[in-house]
Amino acid sequence: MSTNAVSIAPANSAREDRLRELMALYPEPDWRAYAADRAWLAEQQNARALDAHVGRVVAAYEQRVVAVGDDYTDLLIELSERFGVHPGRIVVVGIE
Amino acid sequence: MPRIELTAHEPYVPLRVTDASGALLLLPRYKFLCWVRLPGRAVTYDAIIDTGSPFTLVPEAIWTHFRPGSDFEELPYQAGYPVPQGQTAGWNFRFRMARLLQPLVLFDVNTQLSRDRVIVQLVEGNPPSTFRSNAPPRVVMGLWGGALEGTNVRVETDATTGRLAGAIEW
Repeated sequence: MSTNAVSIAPANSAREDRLRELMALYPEPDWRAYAADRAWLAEQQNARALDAHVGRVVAAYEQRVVAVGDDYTDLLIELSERFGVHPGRIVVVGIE
Repeated sequence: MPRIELTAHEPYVPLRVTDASGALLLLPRYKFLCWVRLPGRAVTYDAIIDTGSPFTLVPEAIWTHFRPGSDFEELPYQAGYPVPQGQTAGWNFRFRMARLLQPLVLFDVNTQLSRDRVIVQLVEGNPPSTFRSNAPPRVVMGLWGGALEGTNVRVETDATTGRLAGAIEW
């Protein structure tokens, strides 16, 4: 490893542990369904429908906004538990 | 020809300028986004196509989930080599190089493009962000390293909507 190497700090927080549990619990998500939701959310961004949430994270699932928050990991956990799906199925993006 | 549609993202309102006749022109500020899966955990990240970036750039908030040895192998600098800094708009960063040992997958609603053994920059830190949240930064899909080689990046204006449209074709 070079002297300039970046240390790799594994994420050990309880939230990261919970996220890993949920990822192990559910089958990996359907990438087409994810892409459809992500494209839908991008359309909402382009239509300026999410401007009230600039700086925050917005979550979409099945082509509707299902949550707005300030923490990416918290939303993945909350919505994975609410909908009973792999966290990777939930679209959560920061709004700029 | 297989293709992945890029999403023309307009996060900002258009610039308002006038031409010599005084007519108002609205200048859109597009970015082309795509969706990418990387090793480490089964979540998708936003990526931006940037052929002005020499390499594909993975911010620390994302690669911190990679497992050394199974997800990537470091490509250490040669002994004595003066380690360069990377630079992008508004941000200087340190980085190291690595080869991904699991596929990098770009996709849209219909198509996936899976690339093996892509060489990337693992960047120390994350780009400046206006997010108050801890939303992951974007991956920058750069020119060399195996992610985009062998593809054509198409940029055109949609005849119906007048909006910019983009795709990666191969």
